[in-house]
Amino acid sequence: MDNDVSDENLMMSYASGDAAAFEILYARHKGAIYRYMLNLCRNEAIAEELFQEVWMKLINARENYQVKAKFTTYLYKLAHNQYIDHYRKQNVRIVEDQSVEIDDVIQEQSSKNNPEKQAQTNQTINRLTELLASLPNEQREIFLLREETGMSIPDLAETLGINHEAAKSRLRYAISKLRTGLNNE
Amino acid sequence: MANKDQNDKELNDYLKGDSDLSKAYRASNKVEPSVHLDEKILSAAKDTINSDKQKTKFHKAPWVKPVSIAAIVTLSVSLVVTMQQETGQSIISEPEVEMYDSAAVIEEISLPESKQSSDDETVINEIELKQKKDARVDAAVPAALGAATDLYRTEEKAELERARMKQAPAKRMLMKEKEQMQADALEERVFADEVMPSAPTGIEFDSVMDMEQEKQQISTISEVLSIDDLLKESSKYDGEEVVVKGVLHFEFEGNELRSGSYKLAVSLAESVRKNTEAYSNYKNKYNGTLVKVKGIFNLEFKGHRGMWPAGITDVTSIIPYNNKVN
Repeated sequence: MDNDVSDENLMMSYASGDAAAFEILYARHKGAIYRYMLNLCRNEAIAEELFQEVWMKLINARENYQVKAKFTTYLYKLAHNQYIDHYRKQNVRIVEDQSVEIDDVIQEQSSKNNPEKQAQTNQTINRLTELLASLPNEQREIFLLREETGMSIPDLAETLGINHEAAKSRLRYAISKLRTGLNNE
Repeated sequence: MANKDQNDKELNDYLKGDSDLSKAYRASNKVEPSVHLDEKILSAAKDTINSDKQKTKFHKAPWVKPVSIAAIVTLSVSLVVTMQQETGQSIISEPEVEMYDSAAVIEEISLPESKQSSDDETVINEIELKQKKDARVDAAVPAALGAATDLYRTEEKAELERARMKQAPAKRMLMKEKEQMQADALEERVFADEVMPSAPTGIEFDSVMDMEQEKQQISTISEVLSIDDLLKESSKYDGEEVVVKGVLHFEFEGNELRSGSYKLAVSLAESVRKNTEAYSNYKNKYNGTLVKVKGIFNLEFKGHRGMWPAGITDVTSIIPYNNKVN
């Protein structure tokens, strides 16, 4: 069932009472959503909180879920809105105060998962993390979405609620800055 | 223009999906949510489905419809009967009084009519007399009805008074209970002062409490601990008054202070829980924000279903966490 069933069908199955369908859906998307939130918020505690809220919203929306678009677009729309709501409500200073945390989390977990590669990748990790942090929010978000989901430009535009040209332009700026930054290393 | 073309080419290359940038990003980002978070979300998903199934089972049960109808009918009938019993006397007495008074007035009016008819008056006179009589009846009937209504209202007032007299002892009992609760709360506070003389009893969740005052009082307690620190040396801090930092969440299953994967259950002081306005203020103000919380670290307090490893009880103060303050 894992690989054959589409996300949309899994969500419909969950809505009709199949808890196992949700487990598959969660396993497919949890890492990407978590990294998206963590890189956006740059604070582990807040990222965990928003991550949890996104999934709770999905659970609560099960009865009204209809396949109108790709499930990934739907899920990341929830995540994007959750992040925007948080960003509006919270004092930005709190997020910035904790900005060092994300580096620790990524490095700590990288070393746990791939201890042998840690030495090689440490430098790139640090540089890319710095460059990502230096991007404007909109550019960072579209880059993260693209990397975590592989969405096309039209899907990115739909998820973020912007037009096609704006999505293209944001992504173009983001990758240009990141590439230049990595090449100047 | 050339720069834009270059950027477009860069974008198109990137969109093919196997750029160096993508490789670098994937190599540097392999983080996953904690196991605890996974369990929490999956268990919420399962619980929701189970509760849906229970609801559906109940609604689909064959006995639900007839029992519901029977219950509605029984309730309606008993309500009507009760209302009739309660209002029956008044309803009957009201028209009786009205009929009696109206009849008396009409009889009084009809007496001169019979005398005059025997005197063989002209038709014109009779018509004039009839018109006069009608006018008097028109005036008298409302007066009679007014008298009946007054009588009815008097009875109603007396009934109300009797009901009030019946309720009075119950009201007095409620008042007594309320007084007792206030006395108990006062006693608790005095007890707390005696047992913990070092605790600054002035810090309470009071909506009028000044933020600066809170900061000053919280700074009288030595250091701000992380949840990690507390849990590492849990036996050292057990029963001690502490100030802990973390993101505060007011949740249905219980309040929680979190930092990364570390978490503590949070129980607010009695005085706040009873003060719904203050509680609501704190909830709106601090839910989901990074704060410092002052209370008693308690290894035994594990919250709803023992979901937390330990907890902070009798929380008497919350202020936003700001590195600059410390």
